[in-house]
Amino acid sequence: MKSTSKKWTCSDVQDNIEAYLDTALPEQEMQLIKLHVQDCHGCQGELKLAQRIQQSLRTLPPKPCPEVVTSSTLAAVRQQRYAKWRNALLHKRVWRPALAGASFLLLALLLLDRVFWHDTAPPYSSEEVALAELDVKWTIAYLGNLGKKTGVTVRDQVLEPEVVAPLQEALRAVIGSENEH
Amino acid sequence: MKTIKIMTIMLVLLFAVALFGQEESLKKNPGYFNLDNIRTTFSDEPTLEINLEGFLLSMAASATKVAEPDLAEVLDNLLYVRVERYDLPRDKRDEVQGKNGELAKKLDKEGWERVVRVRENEDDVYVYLKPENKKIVGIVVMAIEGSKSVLFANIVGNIDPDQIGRLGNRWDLNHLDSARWESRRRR
Repeated sequence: MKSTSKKWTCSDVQDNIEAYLDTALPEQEMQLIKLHVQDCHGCQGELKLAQRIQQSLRTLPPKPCPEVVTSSTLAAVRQQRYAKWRNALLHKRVWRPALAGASFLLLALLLLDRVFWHDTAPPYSSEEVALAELDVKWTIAYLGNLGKKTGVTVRDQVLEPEVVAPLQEALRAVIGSENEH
Repeated sequence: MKTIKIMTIMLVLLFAVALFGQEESLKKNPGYFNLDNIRTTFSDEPTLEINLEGFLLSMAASATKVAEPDLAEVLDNLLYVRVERYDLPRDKRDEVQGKNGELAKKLDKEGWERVVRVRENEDDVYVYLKPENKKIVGIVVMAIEGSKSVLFANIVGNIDPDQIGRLGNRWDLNHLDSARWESRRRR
């Protein structure tokens, strides 16, 4: 960039002529070039030539980007994004806290379920509980019945040969001897 | 970070073990007797099946506390009730009788006390009790009932045979049979 304190030469102006056309120079330098061009025929010609070249370039149709360049650029972007995720996962900055968080959440839910179990909906309906009560009654009645039945059987088995039969024998003997008399 | 990972794994394992342990603790109970293999003997499904455990028994105990306190007391002390009854075809009778004999030997070996053994007419009944610290903690029944059916039962818990006998005599089995069928039909 040329010092603004000095007067600009033609060479200075022509070096910055494209930046002047693009209005890419500071306001003060833009003014200096404008003033110089007003008095200098040579630089006026250069400016007009530069304007014509710029306009001609603008009217050129845009050239499409070759397919190879597009696809390879997109692939490179995708690869970069994947590499970023992979690095994050491999460095365990993501999954460790995620796993720990998920496990604690699960444990908390299980514990809450255990603690408040009795206060929330019971796992069995009243019908199921009533049926369970009937089932247990049936089982107990069956055992009672079995006890009665086996009690009778045991009594019959023990009493018949050990008590009843000898008594009957004894009675028969008594009755027989009385008849003889 | 490493500590959190280890802690998490340990807690997850602890919970898994606790959940698995609930079922395992019943199987380790001295009053439990595994009747699972019986099913393979019969081609048909059981005609009667009762399978009650822990929480359902507690809920039934709570439900009967006011109306039938003595039944609630029995229910409160029970951990597991399993009953299965199967039709017994004539050609299976000898096989089932043989298997019951084998099971009886196994029960004898495992410290169960035989309190009833009846072979009369077509009935063939075994009743075993499991004593533990002067208490009865289990009952096993294997009963060939005449020529028609065979019943297996295992009851686990703190059992008072006198109390069960008293309650058993109070209810009519046929009436309960009808009530059970009616209740299941309505569901």
